[in-house]
Parts: sequence; structure tokens; C-alpha cells
Amino acid sequence: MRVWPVFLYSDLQSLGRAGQGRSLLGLPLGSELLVERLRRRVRAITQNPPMILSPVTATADYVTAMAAVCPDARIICKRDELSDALAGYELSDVLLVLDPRCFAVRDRELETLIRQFSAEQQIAHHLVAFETGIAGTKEHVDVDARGFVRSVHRYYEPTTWPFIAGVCASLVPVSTGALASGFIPTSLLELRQFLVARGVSSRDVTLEGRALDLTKAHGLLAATEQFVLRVAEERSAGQRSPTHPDW
Amino acid sequence: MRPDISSIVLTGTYPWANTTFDKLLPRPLMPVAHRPLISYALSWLRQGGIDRVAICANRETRALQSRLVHHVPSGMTLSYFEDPMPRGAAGCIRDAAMADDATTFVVADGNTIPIVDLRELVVNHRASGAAATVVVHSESRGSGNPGLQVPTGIYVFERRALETVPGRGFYDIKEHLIPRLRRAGEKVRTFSTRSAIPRVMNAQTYLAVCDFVVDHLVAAQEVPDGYTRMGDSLVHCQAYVAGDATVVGPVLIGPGAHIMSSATVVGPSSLGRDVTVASGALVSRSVVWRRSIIGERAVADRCILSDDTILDTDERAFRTVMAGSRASVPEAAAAAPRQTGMPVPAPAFRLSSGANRWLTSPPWARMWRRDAGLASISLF
Repeated sequence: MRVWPVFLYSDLQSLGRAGQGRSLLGLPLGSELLVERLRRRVRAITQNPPMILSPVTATADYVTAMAAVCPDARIICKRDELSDALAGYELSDVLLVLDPRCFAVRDRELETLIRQFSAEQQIAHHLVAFETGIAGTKEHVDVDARGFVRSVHRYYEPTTWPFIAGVCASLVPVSTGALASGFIPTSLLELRQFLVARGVSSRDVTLEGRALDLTKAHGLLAATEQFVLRVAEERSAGQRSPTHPDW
Repeated sequence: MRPDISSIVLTGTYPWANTTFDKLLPRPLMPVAHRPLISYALSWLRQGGIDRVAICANRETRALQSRLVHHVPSGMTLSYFEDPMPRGAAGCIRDAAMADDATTFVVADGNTIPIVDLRELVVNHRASGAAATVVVHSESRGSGNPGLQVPTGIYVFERRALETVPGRGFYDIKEHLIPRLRRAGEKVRTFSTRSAIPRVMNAQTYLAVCDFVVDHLVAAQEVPDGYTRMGDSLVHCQAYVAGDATVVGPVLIGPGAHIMSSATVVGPSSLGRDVTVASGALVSRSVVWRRSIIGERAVADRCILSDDTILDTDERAFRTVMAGSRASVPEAAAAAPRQTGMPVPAPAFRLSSGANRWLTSPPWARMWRRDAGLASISLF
């Protein structure tokens, strides 16, 4: 089994004017770019070069910028290019597709996904982040057709909350032919649905740590803060640190 | 003033985890912008025309009685209700309501900052003829998931609804009372608010609520008594800010606080009475209660420092809750005027003819705080 990394494109439109025409992959995260961070994570799994799926409208500047930070990456902008690229893969190969929008805080989550996949290689696996709330519970007022309250439900996240917030990564066997037709998913949620529609069996693997929504300003800031705090902790290793998070 | 409407404020809390934060103080008494959290609910009720409030505090009754004296809005009569046995929210409300002759009861959570139009809520409730109204906030969710109508902890009950609650035993609003009313054919309606109701549930939400209130206080036209607006910050007239200190708003600086030379305070932050930020120290996005000392060159970022906390010289604290009365006294604390008996410059608050850097945060930062602060900050 060979693993081939694939990075999805995402723009920064949700940041308004500041994000227009900018790729999330090219966003600085601490002292490196997000694409470099993802590349580093993937290297712990495979040394194979990544594919970067980009929109047809990708500019030459974007392609140049991506090529500069990921010199070995194959930047795909057209359906035919994707089909051609996948034609060279074995059916026993697997695509490790990463969506930068749903960013796992911990670096080693992909290894868990790979471990799970190894046991069931004919099934697509998705690394999913569950929605989380404050104090682990959510409440919802259920209203009937006349607008009267029927009941108030209290969900407890570890037991009764079934909804995911996003998919960080997917392991998709090449044998599913999922991307070979030239289908370029805009998100892993879309890819997950696409696989279901094609009759491909899938399994969700829950993220052990947290995930951040990098399409939102507060997600980006939290990711940067997490990076800075980790660097600070590494630098002050051995020194007294009063940090003992209550949250 | 409407004699037919009364209010009941529930202050009971459940400590979800045995954290340092949960041990600091009863949640309704936690200071938010220099006022007990529960005082915001009381002010909201008073402004809505309600002058009688029963507080169901149970084991916290004495603590609330002693500390709320100075925070009861003018013209409001407070009574305290303590159940000898656990009664549940509906049981507590029923017991308090039966001691009052009002026909309509507004129920609020003492751990929230109510930002609903109370008069509109009551008018809407009465016009609907409902036995109860649940105030909800629509919460949109991503990934194609359906939105939620989230209860905010604010209800309006007619007396007849509360009379159905048994006089003994545990009785909850959501699990018992609302289903019972529905079975009885009574109408229970919702009233939607435009925004979420800030609620303190843990350290993270406490900081978010403080951010929210400080932000709104600083943005408001009216300046609280005794305070002066400096840039995006409100500084008490009895506070001292060194000429070369830097304050990046929104920051609330309380009476007797000392921001020493080359110290930096980054908002949203609030510094309570007699807090000292020593020379070269940095306090950012934090809430510091009374009499705490941030030592020389110490750093506190996204922290809650309770009364009498000392952060030692050069110490760094990130996302930390610190309880006070620590034994060690750092050099910086000893050097601070208040500690050594050195005279505090008088008047204590010094306008430094431009030497201070009172920096304002850009509008997008405020929008971000508003959007991110009240939701879960770092997660989806």
C-alpha cells in the first residue's frame, strides 16, 4: 500500500476583503505556511510528493507560490490532469486527502487514521471533528408545527450528540475510483457524501484532540496562538511554568 | 412599576469539573467589569420595570446577601429563598412564586448577562396567552447541520403554570414542568432573541463574558461614575498609570490600581481595585480581581487572577486561573508604592500629556471579539 497525499484548495473569502484571492494553504501559521505544516505532518506518514488540487481559476502567481513552498508537489488545476495523475497509481494505493479548513491541533492525528485504515483497507476512512460546546452539553427547544414548545432536549456530547463539525482528512482507496473521473471535491464533506452516493463504504474516525475552523478569523488566530504557545513552552522547557489550563 | 409582575432569579450552579475556577467564588458573585455577575440580571429586571425579585440561592444565600447589598438597583426589593431540600429549578420557582401575589413571573439565570428587551418579551408573552414562554436564541451550525433553538435561561411563567408544580420533591423546568404543561393542553411558546445570552459556565466563558461587558462598557457613550475615558479604555480617577505605560484598549482600570513604568495592558482586560501591574509587566486579555500583583516583567495572558494573587517577578502565565493569597511576595511587589508605604501620586490617576500610549483596537478586532467571544472560542 502506497499513500499519496492530496491537499484541497480553499480560499479565504470568509475573511472578507483581506482574504480575497488568497489561498488558505499559503497562509502563515507561526513561522511557516499552512501548506508547509501539512506537508510536515504528511511526511511522518509518507515521503511521496503531494498533489495540490486547485481551482481552474487558479492564477499563475498562485501556482508559482505553491511550487515555491512545495517544490515536489504536483499542482492540479484541471480535471484531466487529475485523471492522468491517478492513472499511474495502483488499485492498492490510497489517497490521503487533507482539507486545510478543518485543522487538527495535534500533529499526530493522521497516524491514528492510518492505523485504523490498515485494518480495513477496502473502506474509506474519514478523520472527523465533532461539534463541541461549552461544558459538554447542548440544549435545543423542540417546537411543533403550531409554534408551541414540545420539549427541551439536553444533549450530552460524549453520548448523544451525533453531529460532526468537519472532516480533517480522508483516506480513500484508489480502487474506489473516486477522483479518477476528474471529480475535484470542494471539501471533504462533499467527498464523503460522494463516496456514499457511489456505494463506497466509509468509516469515521474521531479526532482525539481538537480541531480549528481555519475559515473563521477566530480559528486562524487560535491556530496561531496555539503555535506560539507551543514554541514558547518548548523554549522554556525545564523552567518553571505556571500554565495549568482550566479550560 | 407593575405590581402584577415579579421576578425570580436562579443562581444555583453545577460545577461541571472540580477546577480552580469553580472554587474561587459562587458564580453569581464573580466580578464582571467590577460588579457581581448577578447584578446585571438585577439591573436588567429593574430597567424592565420589575421591582420585586426573589433570589433562589440555596446554599449561597448568605454569601449573596452579604455581598449584594451595594449592588441592588434603586427601588428594587430583594428577597432570598432557600429550599431545605433539593427542589430543582421549577420547584424553587414555584416555592418562591407562592410567596408572592404576582400573576406573571420573569425567571432569569443569575449567571447570565440578559440582553433581551424585557418589556417586549412580557408584552409578547401576555399577547400569546401562553402559560409559559421560553426565551431562545437561534444558533446556526456549519457542515449542513440543522440550526438549534437554544434556551437562554430566561422564562416567563403565568402563575397557573407554577401552581401545577408539586409542593414537594425535585421538579425541573425542562424535564418536568414543560412536558406537564403540554400534556395539560397549556401553550408554551418561544421568544427569539437576536443574539446569544452571555452565560458564565466555566473559566473560558467567564473570560468571554468579561470581554463582552468591558467591550460594551467602553464603547458606550456614557462613562461610569468616577471613570475617565482614555482611548479605548476606562480608567478610574483613583488609579495610577505611569507616564510610559502602554494600554491597548478596551481596558477597565479600577480604583487604586497601579500600572507602573513600562508596563503594558492589552484588552479586553479588567483590573480590579488596588491591582498593581509592576514595571515591565504585561497583562493581556485577562481579568484581574482585587489587590493582585503582577510582578516585574511578569506576563499574564488570557488569565483569571482572583483576589490577592501574586504573579512573581518574571513569571509567565498563559490561560491560567490563579487563586489568591500566595505566600511569596516578589521584589516588584515590595517595590510598589502601595506595598512600601511610599506615597501614591495624588491625584492618583495621572494624565501624562501624551506620554502614555493609549492605543485603540481596530473595528475588526471588536467584531471578532463579539463573534468569537460568546461562542466557543477556539472550536467549531
